[in-house]
Amino acid sequence: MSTDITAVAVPVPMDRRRRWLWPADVPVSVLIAGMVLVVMAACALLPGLVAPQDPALINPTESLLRPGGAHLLGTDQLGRDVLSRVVHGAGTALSGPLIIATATIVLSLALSLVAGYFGGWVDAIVGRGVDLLYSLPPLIVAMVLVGVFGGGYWLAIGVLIVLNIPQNVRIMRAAVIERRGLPYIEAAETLGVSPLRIMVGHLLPNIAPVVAACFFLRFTYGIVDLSSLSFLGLGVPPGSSDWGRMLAENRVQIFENAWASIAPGVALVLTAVSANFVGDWLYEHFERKGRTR
Amino acid sequence: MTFRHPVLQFTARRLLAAALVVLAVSALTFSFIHLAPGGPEQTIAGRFATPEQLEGIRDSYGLDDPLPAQYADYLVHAVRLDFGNSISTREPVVTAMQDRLGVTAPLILGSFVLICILGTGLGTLAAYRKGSGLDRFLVGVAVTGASAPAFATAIILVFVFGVQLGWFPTFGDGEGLADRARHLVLPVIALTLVGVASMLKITRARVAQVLQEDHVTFARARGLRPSYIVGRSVLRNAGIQVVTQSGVILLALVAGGVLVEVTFGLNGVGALFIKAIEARDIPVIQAVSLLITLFIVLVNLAVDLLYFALDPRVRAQPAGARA
Amino acid sequence: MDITGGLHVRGLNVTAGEPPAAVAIASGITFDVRPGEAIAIVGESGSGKSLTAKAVLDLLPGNLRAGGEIVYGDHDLGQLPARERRRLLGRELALVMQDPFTMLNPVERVGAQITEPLEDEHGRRLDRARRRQEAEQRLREVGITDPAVVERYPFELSGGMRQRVGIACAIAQRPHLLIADEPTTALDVTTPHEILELLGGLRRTRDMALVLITHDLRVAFSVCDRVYVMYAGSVVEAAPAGELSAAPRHPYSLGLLLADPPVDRRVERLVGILGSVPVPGGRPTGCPFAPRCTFAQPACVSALPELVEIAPGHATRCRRIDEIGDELARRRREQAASAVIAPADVAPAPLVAASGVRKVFAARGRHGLPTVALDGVDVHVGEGESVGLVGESGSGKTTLGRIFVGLEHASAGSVAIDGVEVAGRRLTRADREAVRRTVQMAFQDPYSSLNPARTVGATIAEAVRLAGNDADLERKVTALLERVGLPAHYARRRPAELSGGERQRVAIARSLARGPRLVVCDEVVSALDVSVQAQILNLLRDLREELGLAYLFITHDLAVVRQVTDRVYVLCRGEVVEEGPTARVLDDPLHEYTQRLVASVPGATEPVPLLEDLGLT
Repeated sequence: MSTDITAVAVPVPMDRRRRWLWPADVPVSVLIAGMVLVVMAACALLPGLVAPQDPALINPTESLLRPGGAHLLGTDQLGRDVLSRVVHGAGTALSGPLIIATATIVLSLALSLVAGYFGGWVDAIVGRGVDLLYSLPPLIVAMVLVGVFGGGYWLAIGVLIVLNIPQNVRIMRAAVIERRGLPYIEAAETLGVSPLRIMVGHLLPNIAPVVAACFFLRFTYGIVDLSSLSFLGLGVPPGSSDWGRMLAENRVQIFENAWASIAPGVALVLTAVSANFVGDWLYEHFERKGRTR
Repeated sequence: MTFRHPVLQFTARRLLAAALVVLAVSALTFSFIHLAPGGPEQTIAGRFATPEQLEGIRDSYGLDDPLPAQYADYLVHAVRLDFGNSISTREPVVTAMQDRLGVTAPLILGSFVLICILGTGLGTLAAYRKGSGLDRFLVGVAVTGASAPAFATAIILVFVFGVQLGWFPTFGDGEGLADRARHLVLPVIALTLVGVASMLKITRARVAQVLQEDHVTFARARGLRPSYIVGRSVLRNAGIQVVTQSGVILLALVAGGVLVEVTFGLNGVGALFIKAIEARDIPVIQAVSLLITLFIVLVNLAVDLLYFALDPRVRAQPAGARA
Repeated sequence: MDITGGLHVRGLNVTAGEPPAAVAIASGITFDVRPGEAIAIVGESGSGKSLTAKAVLDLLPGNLRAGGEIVYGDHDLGQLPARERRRLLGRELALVMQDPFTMLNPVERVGAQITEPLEDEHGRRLDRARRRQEAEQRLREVGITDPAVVERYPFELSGGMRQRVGIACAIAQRPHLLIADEPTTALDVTTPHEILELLGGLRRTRDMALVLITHDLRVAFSVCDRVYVMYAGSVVEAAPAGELSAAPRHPYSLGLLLADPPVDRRVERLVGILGSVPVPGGRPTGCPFAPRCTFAQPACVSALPELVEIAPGHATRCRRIDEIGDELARRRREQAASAVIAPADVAPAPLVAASGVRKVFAARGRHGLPTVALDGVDVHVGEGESVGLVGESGSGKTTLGRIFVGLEHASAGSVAIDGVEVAGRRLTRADREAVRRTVQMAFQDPYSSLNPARTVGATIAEAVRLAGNDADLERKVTALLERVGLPAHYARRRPAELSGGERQRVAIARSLARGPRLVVCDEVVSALDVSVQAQILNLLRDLREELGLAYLFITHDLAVVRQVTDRVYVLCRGEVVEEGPTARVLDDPLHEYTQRLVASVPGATEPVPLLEDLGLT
């Protein structure tokens, strides 16, 4: 028996389809976050159009200029334009996290659907594996492994993908299991719909918002983790215009041109925070809808 | 059914599992190091070593023995807390780690205590005022803090409080207790900012959820004291998930601690570790990764035991029967 | 404190949201509870009855506001400072909630929960020994004699026990008024009766007034002196229980009475109420019931009628009551006297048959024991026959239904579906298809029986396609929708846009898409409001007639079984304890368990009083 309270909480929206695609009540903070992500994506795709100068142009006579004039954010020790280097850094900053997020989510989703739908020993194996890996904090393990093996970018990415699977499997598998026993799934089984079609056609659309939210959160932490590694000299080779690397290299000159280290830091925080805002909102929005059904 | 029996059983099982994990991880890191390109002798002697020099090193470090034998040798020494000497400083690894823990332990534990107090306090407040301006502000700060990398937060703190305002030192350990403490202020704040967000968020989410539950409404309907409702109805029930989360946060502080130590030039275990990696200082790398493994395992064990103590439903069926 | 006055609510409003966009959830609620009296507030889901109770106790969720006058004793509760108002809770006014599984603090022992608010003569907390003693004493008062329960956590107790503990908690401080919000809805078949007896007994021995909030008129009549009927946020009728039952004075009250299937006889046709309850914010101006009322006239929709007293203690919100009063009474009398139609006694060829079926579920966890859900069950359903499967939760009735459609597999025994043996072997593709063509299932919860991401049309089209014929898909979907009484344009809607009854119709249409000969109906109407339940039961009867369907009707509700089945099996702990023609089993149960089931139906033993009996003609 549904209680009166749920009846109050859901004045049935007249047009569900519109809400499904683009929920109308997007808060301002999320809109701004979305715009930041778009700008960053533009920087990453077409850095030449956005950046005022060549990021690699070394000019010893203009070393460590403070912001102003031709250099909006000043220059670094080698006289390179900080703004241009930040713009060009967007590519590295976004591509790695994108790879991590995509791979982690695809693998987690496949594992979650199979484990959650079939249950039994398949689920038991996935569950044990997840429990075992869950207690390993990804970033510190990546530091140890990359440190031991020497600064491999792809090793770092690989470790972060694998170690981030457990968290996502936990969330998505729970979402699958929550729906797996529902009558609409059992009705499909009774009618003779194949397991693959049930997983892809019935379960996936209903957990899609959770998956999207996980993707954004994973992207956020991909940025945080990868830039942390490169800050420590464990991610990308020195000299490339990676934000974490830039911050580490220019840290010493913080009293001469602080912006050389602050600017990549701000770019990092802005991107990560924006992705998190979007993901967080998606998750809460979905949660709300999930609770009221 | 006695209460002690299953707890002891549970603890014993978990301790055994923990020991196995430590053993397995140490074996893995050991073999990784020895299988890494170039081999350890190359690392020790440097890139320009002659074949004769390499041969000498292989001999003196026993590197030609089979790997399992080397590992057994390492283990025998390790249980006696003998991890050999650092290759770059010639100092015993254990002494070096002891010194560095004097910086790292206050940094991590201090931040963790702050995170627990601030995170649960503000999270509960936000949940009680859900939807208010205060709530939105706290959540905004939390999301920002959670998604800013520790070193970026650190550098911004350095810029504002060190460079612009000049309130706190920006680099190094300091001399004497008071000065050392002063040097730890900004690092602790940086680390707290990174961790407090997830504590606040999980507390807020759980408390808000529990506040909606029937048993809280029922407790109110009975006119029970507000202190009982907040403490035993709300926090006791919300606490189960918060404790689990606090373990994850504490472990994340290890990685955050490394970053913060490097940014602030603190001579902690994390900085030691990064230097050892740059110098391929194998004994140090091995010892620190073992320390980290041990810490991870112990924290997880503590969380499991707390979980057990807090939730009677887990106590009733300890054998992993929960779905 | 002066409690002689009781509780008086005048013009209570509950609104959601802030003023410009505020939505009224309940408006102008007026009722009185005299000391020691038992009243019922009856309404379907969405009527605002639970929120009315919460408003009285100042327990509304944060987004809701209450206005109006609530007087208790000599206190105007609205004027009282929050602190003093809270002091009344538990001491004077108390609440028992619907769900015993969520009402108690899950991490606190039963004894501690009961004794938490208790103080000694000096206002101090009791010492340990006193608390223990009090806890045992309070548990005895609610019929729990085992002192060990004091040390138990709620999750270690059954639903009925938890509800008793909840009552013990609520009355621990000897309140003078107890509000019970659907106290029996979440309980198993035989326990509601016991809980209602307990509440009635406590009311008498404690001289405690009782406000029973329920959707079930029979429950209300069995316990209460007076009844308030609520619809869409308003009280539409208030009357003494006997009078309301015999001569309702509002079309909605009559509708509720007629829609409620009687347990003691089969009626020719149940009378549902058209449409469904409007959501707050979507309510019509004027009489809220007008759009569903067969007596409505243009005047009814212009303004909300007043609640008018038409006899001492009897008030109605129907403006036409003078004209239609006699007609309402006539229809009620007619239904109360409607003849029993015995279903034809035939022995059709068996379509599905289970014999000696056992089902054991593997142990959960290392310490758990395997559960025997079914233990040697023989059940068969003939072609075109409607068979009931009755029992409490845990009796195995649902498991058996699931075995017939292949969602579970029997551990032992034989299950034949139209001659195909499905137990104990791997089915060929052809066998599986044959089973699916023969048996389909309809499920309980209308809110989750349809995929929320798909339109109704897509859901049914998928089922039609699996039947192996893609031609003319759209026409077939339309035909199925029309068959279950829904217009064709519903194909474009998503489940969220449908009411509970409409969703259940779609779910039935889906189960018909493969043209089965047997539909397993698992509690298909138990989550629906009574007015909608009647519509669905009628639909199922019609479908059976038109398509020659057989049903296996799984339910805990004997009244439903009476209305739609020819034969019935009674299941208890995995065994069939009794079977036979429905009328015989319900009128003259042989097995002791069946007798208990029958006796636990509220109001089963009291015939509907007729006007003559009340001297009101």
